[in-house]
Amino acid sequence: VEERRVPSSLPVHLAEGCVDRQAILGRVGGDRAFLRELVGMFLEDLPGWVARIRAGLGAGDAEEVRTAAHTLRGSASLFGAGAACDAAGRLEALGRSTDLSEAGPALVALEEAAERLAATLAGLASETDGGTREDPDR
Amino acid sequence: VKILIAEDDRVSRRMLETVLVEWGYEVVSVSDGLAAWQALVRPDGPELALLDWVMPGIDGSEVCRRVRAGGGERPAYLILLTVKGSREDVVEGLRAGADDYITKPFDLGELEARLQVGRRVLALQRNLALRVAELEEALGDVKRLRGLLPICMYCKKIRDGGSYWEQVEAYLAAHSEATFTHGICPDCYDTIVRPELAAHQAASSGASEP
Repeated sequence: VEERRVPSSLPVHLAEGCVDRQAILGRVGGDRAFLRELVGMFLEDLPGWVARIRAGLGAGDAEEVRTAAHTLRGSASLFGAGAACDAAGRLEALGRSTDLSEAGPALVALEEAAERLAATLAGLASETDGGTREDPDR
Repeated sequence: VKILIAEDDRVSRRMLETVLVEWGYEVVSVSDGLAAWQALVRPDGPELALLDWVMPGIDGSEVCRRVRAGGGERPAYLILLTVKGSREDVVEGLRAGADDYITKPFDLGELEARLQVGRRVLALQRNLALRVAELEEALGDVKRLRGLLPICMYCKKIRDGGSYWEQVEAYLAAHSEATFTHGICPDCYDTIVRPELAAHQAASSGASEP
């Protein structure tokens, strides 16, 4: 198995554990153009989900926090985004329990993870092709 | 095969659409629970569905509950989409009427295999429905020959409906799958045919005498 590569423009610590490059490519059948399309959609929607969670916490709306965090977690999981999924999972659990008193640090963690994830995915999507398909198992 | 994707996250939806079209499915996509339910209850609606758990409007489990409550002749095969680590959701979804579930992030091999299971179940259901229809038709034939039949004490004709009397074999031929071949039983041969033959012979020998 090829050693996991990260976009060369990013410091390694930013991308470490942030996305699962092999899993992503496997899921799109190595089709880089398709990956770019999906990343584009995700990067458009990500700030909206974070904003919904933040607004939900501000309004004490546990249901809004739960559903927005759930959707973010499901979408981010497709990119193997472990840290963002974990942070969203914590917020989802807090939303489900309706006790939002400890959600502050979880939101900070999610915002940091989302920022790193966005940067990593943007770098991944802008990588040059060398062909339109890449074998995920190569 | 027609399949419904109900998913509010457009990244997941787009990924599923692309994969399923590649696998030869006819894909119907919606982004909320109400639209999913409406698509499933249409007479020509999809029989296979991938339903996200959390959606605007009504959630995936409520869609399952409504579809099951509606009954219908073609029960759809419903697969819930959940996110890893949502065990309670899975249990609730299955109780609500889902047939199976698959966890995000999707493993394409697993997704394909679970869809195959769904198609197998749908085929079994279809075959079973076909056999039940055949049996019901056969039962209908049997029922037509049950009950009280008015029959003539002397000539044994059967009254069919109003004042129309018909031969028992004509009646049975019209009301069952039976057909008749004609012969003579030994009793009738002794009591009817033999005396007739004797009378015929006597008549012809009498006629030949001068």
